[in-house]
Formats: sequence, C-alpha cells, structure tokens
Amino acid sequence: MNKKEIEKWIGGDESASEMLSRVSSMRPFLFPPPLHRVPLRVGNVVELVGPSPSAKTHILIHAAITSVLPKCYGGLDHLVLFLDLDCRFDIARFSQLLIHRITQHGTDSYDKTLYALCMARFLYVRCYDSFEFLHTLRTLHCRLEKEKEVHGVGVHLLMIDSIGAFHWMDRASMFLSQRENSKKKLFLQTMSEAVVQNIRKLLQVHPMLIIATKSVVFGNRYSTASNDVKVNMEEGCSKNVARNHQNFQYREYMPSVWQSFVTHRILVRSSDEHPVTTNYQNSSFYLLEWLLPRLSFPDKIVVKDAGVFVDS
Amino acid sequence: MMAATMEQQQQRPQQQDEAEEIQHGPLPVEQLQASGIAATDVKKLKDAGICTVESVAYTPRKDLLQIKGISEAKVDKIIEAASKLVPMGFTSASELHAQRDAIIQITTGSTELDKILEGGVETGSITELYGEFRSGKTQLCHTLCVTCQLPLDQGGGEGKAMYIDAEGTFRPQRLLQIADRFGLNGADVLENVAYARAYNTDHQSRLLLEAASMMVETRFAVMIVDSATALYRTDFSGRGELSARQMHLAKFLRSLQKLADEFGVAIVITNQVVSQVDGSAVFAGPQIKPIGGNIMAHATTTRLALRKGRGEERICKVISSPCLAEAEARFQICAEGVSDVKD
Repeated sequence: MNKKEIEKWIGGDESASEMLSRVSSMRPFLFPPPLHRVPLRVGNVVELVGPSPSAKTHILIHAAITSVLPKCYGGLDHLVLFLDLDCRFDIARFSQLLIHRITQHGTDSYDKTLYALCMARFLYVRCYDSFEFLHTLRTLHCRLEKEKEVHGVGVHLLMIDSIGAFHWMDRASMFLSQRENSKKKLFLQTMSEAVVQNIRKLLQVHPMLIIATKSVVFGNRYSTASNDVKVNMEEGCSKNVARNHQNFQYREYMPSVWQSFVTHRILVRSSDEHPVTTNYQNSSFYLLEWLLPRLSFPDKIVVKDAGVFVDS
Repeated sequence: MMAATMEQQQQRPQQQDEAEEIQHGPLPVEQLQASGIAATDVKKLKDAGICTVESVAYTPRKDLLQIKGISEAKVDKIIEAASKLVPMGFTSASELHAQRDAIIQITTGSTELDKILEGGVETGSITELYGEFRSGKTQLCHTLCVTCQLPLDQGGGEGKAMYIDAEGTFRPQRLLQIADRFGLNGADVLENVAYARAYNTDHQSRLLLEAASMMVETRFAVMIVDSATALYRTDFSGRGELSARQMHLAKFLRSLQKLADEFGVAIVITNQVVSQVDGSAVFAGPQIKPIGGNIMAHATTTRLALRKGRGEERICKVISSPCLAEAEARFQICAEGVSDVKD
C-alpha cells in the first residue's frame, strides 16, 4: 500500500447514510424457521448435513426466498447467489414456493412486478467440476460489484449445494495424477484449501453468510439396530423414545480445512415417526438438529407444497 | 442396424478425438497467448509445472508470484486472462425459469405413471429407475425409445433415442411391437434408435464421447443406460476396490449430467439393488436399496423405485425429486409395452 492510498484511506469521509448501510449489513439475518434457532450473520459458514433426500435444498430455497423478498414483505432485501455443484437445482420449485410466499401477503393473483423483482435477485451459477468452482470463486469479486450496481442491493447470502459434489472426481484426479507423475498434482487437500482460501478472501471484501449442503450416508447400521432393540425392550416399544444422536453417526470425508472453516452445522434426516392423523397431502417429515452449536432438542420439520415448516 | 453399428465402429477413433477436445478440457496453457499473454511468460508457467489454464485457477496467487521472471502485474494479468477463457456468468432465476419452459416431458405409455411424473420423463435431467429383476425397468426403457419419437402434442420428444446396453437385454422386436401400438412405422422407429453394447466400465464411459458426437449432428430426445451400474459390479469387486469404483462412477454420472444440460436430452438410467443384510433385517424383513450410495443418489434428479405387483402389474414410487411429491402409480407391462392397468 503506497503513501497515496494510505492518505486516501485516512482522509476518507463517509456520509451517515453510507455508514448506516454498511453497518446494517452486519446485523444478524432473521431467518424464518427452521433456521431461526441460532442467529446467523455475515461471515458465518453454515453446513447442512444429511443424506439424500432430506430437504436440504428445500431449506436453502426457503432461506433464499426470505432473502430476496423486500423488507415490507417480511424479507431481507438481499441478493442471493446459488452455486449449484450437484447440477440439478429445479428453478420451477423455487418459483412455485416464491409465489406461495407472495400470495401470503396479498390476494390470490400475485404481484407480478414483485415476482419479477425477486426472480431477478436470485443469481445462479452451475459448476461441473472443481476447476469451474474455483474459477467462479476467483471471479466473484468483480461480478458481485457489477450486480450491486445493477440491483442497488448487494449479495449477502452465498449458497453452495453441495460442497462435496466433486469429492470422488477429485480423488480420481489425484489417483491419475500420481500415475502420470505430473509435476503439479491436484490433491483433494489442495483443492479444498484453495476453495476455503478463495472464500475467505471473498468474505473480506464482500461480507456474506454462506450456507452449504453436504450429503452423507449414515453408518453403523448394526449398532443402530442393537440400540433400537435395547431401547425398545426397555421402554416397551414406545414410539416416543428419544433417540441417541450417536445412532446417526456419519463418516466425515471433507478435508479438515473445510471442517474447521464451518462455524455452524445442522443435521437433517428423515423422520421415522409420522403423525397418526395426518391432515396434509404431499408432505414429507424430517428432523433437524443443530450440532454446532449443539442444541439439545431436534426440530420436526415438514415439507409441503407451500414450503418448509416447523411441525410443533 | 448392423450396418449402422459397423459404420460407427469405423468412425470411432476420429469421433473420439474430436469429442475429447470439445468435451473434456483441460485447456493447454498456450491458450493464454490468444488473450495477450506473452509466449515467454507461458513458457515460464510450463517450466513451473503449470501446463493448463485450469491449473492457474487452483494455484494460489502467492505461488504464481514465486515464479522467477513473472512480476506481480503479470500475475494479475494471467489470472484475469485465465478467468476469461472459461465463460462464466450468473444466471438470474428469471432467465433460468425461461430456460425451464423449454423442458418437455416424454410420455411413459401409462397415463397414471405420467400423472405422478407430471407429464412424463423430463428432458434435461437424469431419471433413475431402480428395482429388482423383473420389475419393469427394461420394459419402460424400451417404451421410451418409441414414445420419444412421437410428436410433441402426443407426449413425445420428436427426437431419436440412444440406448447403451450393459446387460444385453435390448430387443429390437419389442420396439416393433410398441411402434405398432403408437401407429409408427416399425422400420423408421428402429432406424431412429442408436444402440451400443457396453462391455466394461471404461467402454461405457467412452461411449458417452461418441454419444456427444452424434448428438451434435442430430436431435436426440432420450438416452438410456441400462444398467448404469451392472458393469461396475463386475469390474470392481471387493471392498478394496470400492474407492476406485466410486471415483469411476462419479465421473461417468457427471458426464451424463453434462450431456443432459448441453443437448436437452432426457437421460434415463437403470440401477440395480442390494439387500441390506444386517441386524434390522430380523425385525423389518429384507429391505433393498439402490447401489452406488451417495454418488448415485446425488447425481440423479429424479429417483423412481419399481417393484412387482400382481401378474403383469408393476408399481412405481417417486423416491426423490426436487419437485415431485412422493407418490405411487400402477402400470402394466404387455405386448405393447408400458400401459395402464386394466381393472
């Protein structure tokens, strides 16, 4: 940093409105359920962990709609950037849920101007491999500046679905690289380090909340069965037995550089229990549990045509 | 059919090379010269072990600065040039939604089955059918080879079908029977199906390169891989090779996804199942699940479970889909392919 830049930085003045707009972006996000338990703010990295299907993408859609809606409609007035690494995001579902949210606040015929505004605020990028993912992260700075100029509001929410999408392909690349004896080896660790490094740098100039999904397979089926048997025998086959979370251990496969980068972790899985008298059609039930920070109780969530809700 | 296959074999080497260049990068680092990077700087990058444009992406900037003879300004210029070579931009939800309207559904032949799929099998994405043997997977694939050739207003895709057969269960005579039902000319229907037999997993992957070459030339509406996982079971055996199998399968499925996106083709893959043999089986009875684990679950957009019902009746259940509700439908397999159950 040369002398002129230092002088410019020291001498710079900021109007009150500019300061307020800068400071307001640091306030916690006020998400509706099921992400309402813990305050989330820019700079946090939230990881949604669960098998497929467990409503992870539905939760992302639900949070994204809250972000793109204007404040007078209960939204946050932000842009959302969605990085689709699984390459199977369905925009029709996003549109459907957005219309549901808009009609909640108005008549049955939804406000088309509001709909168009929200749709324009959702920015989508599809990446097919780690190279494209890194390219996207590297070029985000300039692109985000442009979007801010166009829309007047900035991107404050970055979604990654799913962070482990290229895990097996990167491992295959590592395998091939070793065989070919190339000088520059593409290691899985290096790839994750580059991803985390690029996101860190990006967050310094564009403070954002990051929500990433990660798909896992639950292991220890045998011990699960054993625990089930014991618990059922002790409790007389009660359906309301509180399950030990250890029964749903999963093998961590992301490198430690990503694991330590995550500030909040949420576990989502299918619910084994269904209400006896279900009034809903087309509903799916899941359990959502905060692992980091750990909360002692899981939320029961239900996915309906109209979106994701906490079932009390 | 035989002549077409032989013709394909003769043209195979050239098409593979062309498809390889188009589809699978990575871009050699010399491409940067077209963006104004000096040849001497490109040579310095190669001497440092950076031989592709993509590797510029994951090399940290500080490492690029370590290369002797390349200044800080040049590093920034190189990074910028590399970024521009791979076209990337944001797509707004509005634009994405407009693209979505171009997606069509291809009828399965059964009205009830089409109903739970909201029109049929969807183009531009991957649909997975899994189930035990004799659950209707291959019969449904045969029917789709014919229905995809129907006009749009009849639930077709007005395109050809590509059939990659890993199990040796493809039967052209079945297509003739199904064509009769829909009033299509049998010879034309057969002509519009590109068939390839896959003999091992590497061959199965290479067939995708040929598929891409053919899809550039003509309109395909459906691509079938029956079964996508059978050869993986024979090529990779034992727990020691599980890791290699998953790597190979991940690459294959990602290539399929790219075909679906680039050519707007409906990709239908069948998957085999494995019994869960563990303690819980004692209480719940035998349970089956599709093989491939996370990689298969997350690569497929729509996952459908098929099982046998009474007689020729079959049951299809939507297991996983971004927009379809969990639902079941009955259908029937008869001489004319997949159709509705006659009660």
